[in-house]
Amino acid sequence: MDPELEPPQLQFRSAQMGGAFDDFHGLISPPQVTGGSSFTALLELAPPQAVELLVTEDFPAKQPPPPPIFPTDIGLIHRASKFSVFASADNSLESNAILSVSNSIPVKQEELDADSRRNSSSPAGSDQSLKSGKRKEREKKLKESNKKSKSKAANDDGEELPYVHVRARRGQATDSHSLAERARRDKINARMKLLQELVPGCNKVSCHNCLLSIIVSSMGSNCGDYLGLIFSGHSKRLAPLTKCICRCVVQISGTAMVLDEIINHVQALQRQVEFLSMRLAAVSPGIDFDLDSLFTVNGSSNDNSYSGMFAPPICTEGQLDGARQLQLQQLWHCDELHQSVWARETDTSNFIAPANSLLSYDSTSANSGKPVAPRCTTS
Amino acid sequence: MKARSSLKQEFLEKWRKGLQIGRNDSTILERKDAIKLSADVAIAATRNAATRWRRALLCDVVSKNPTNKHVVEQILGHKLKNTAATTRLTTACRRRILRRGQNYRRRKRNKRSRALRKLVPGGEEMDGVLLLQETLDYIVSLRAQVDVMRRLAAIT
Repeated sequence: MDPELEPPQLQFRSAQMGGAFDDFHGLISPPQVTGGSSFTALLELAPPQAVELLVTEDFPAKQPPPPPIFPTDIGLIHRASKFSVFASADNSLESNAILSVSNSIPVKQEELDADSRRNSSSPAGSDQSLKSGKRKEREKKLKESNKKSKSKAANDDGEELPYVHVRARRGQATDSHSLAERARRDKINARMKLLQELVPGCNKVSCHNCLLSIIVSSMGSNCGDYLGLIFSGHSKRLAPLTKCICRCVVQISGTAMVLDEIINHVQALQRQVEFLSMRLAAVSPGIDFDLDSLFTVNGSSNDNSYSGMFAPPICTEGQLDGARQLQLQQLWHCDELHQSVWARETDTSNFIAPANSLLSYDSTSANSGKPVAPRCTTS
Repeated sequence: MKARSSLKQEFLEKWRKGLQIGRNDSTILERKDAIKLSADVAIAATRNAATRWRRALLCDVVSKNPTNKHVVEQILGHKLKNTAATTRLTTACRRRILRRGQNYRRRKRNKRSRALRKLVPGGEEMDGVLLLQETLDYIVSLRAQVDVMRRLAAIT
């Protein structure tokens, strides 16, 4: 077997999802996609891929067509190798992951391939579209490769393997869990770097969450949702990623509004408390009278109590009234809840009046039959 | 709702307790502050004091004006044991959070939650999930408080 032919073949096998060559082709064909605007291009490319990805789950028995010879073979290999190096530190595993394919597609893992990739690679920036293609590939592959073993994969062209073989890197833990972990991490890192290159200003950002949130916010809510959809298709492998993306999406597009509402509500309630305490202070000097009566009164409706206990306005301290009026009006002006509050209270124009009336209210002890012990003396 | 009415009545009782502390306030503003203080402490003292915003509110109240302490204690029914500890913890947490808050991510994402933290007492030290929980509880208590105060104001 021609070793040079192997990588492209394997790559193509891994790329295609049982015959969806065109999309892959479409992915790798525009090599000039760079910069921040490319993200939309990526998104345009995403739909067919997303559909693919979501469909891949039930893709068991399709036979891969014989791999065609792509005109960009060598270039592809080169870019793939570059990308693999660029994307992760675990080169061999990365390339292994790249090479690993879905269940029904036989995978040939050869150290030779990995080595050739590694050797031929150079730490240069990889191509945008290639990265996206790689990303899709890896998404598909890693989603379906449930098991990994140490052994080399048999070179089966026509045979179907129920699972994927991945050769473990020397000196690394070959536990399936750690392998899966590493693969996931690599994938996440690769995607992070991809997105980092897309969004300007993200280069310095290291945390995944922040990066995702920035990206999602830059894209807007629709794209954010779409991203969430894309990533949610791979929930098995992408649990942490999906969670943070979903969190970001919800936070930025959905919960942002909710948070605004919450903030407004809390502000409104606090203002109401202020206002009401001011009002009660205006009423006050005998404010702490007996609330026992008010217990019973509170059970009844406001209107009844209000009208029942309302004494005719007696203006005893005009100067205090003026000050009170001024203060109350100041309060009112800065309170947006005035309308709602006053709508519920029966009478707004009589506000000063009851305030005045209560100066004598307490002394007359019209409150109730219970003896009032004025604990708060009028000044 | 049974729960809500008991919460309101509890709040009313504690509020009354706080107001019973004789205070000779001349200006309306002082009176207003006293009323508000009593109301806030009362609503914070209702139910279990396990929620953070309550503790933070009480500690803020006490730290701002040490004379309020007896009000708080009377309303609470017991002494505030951990006031100093809580304030120390508060400032330490705040500093730690501020240091971590230099993160670009927080600055970007938490603009709104910062606004919310300012509103909810003790919100500076809460993380996202806890902040929302506390906010929920705080809003419920605030609504009860406002309702009671409004009725009282309507009566008087």
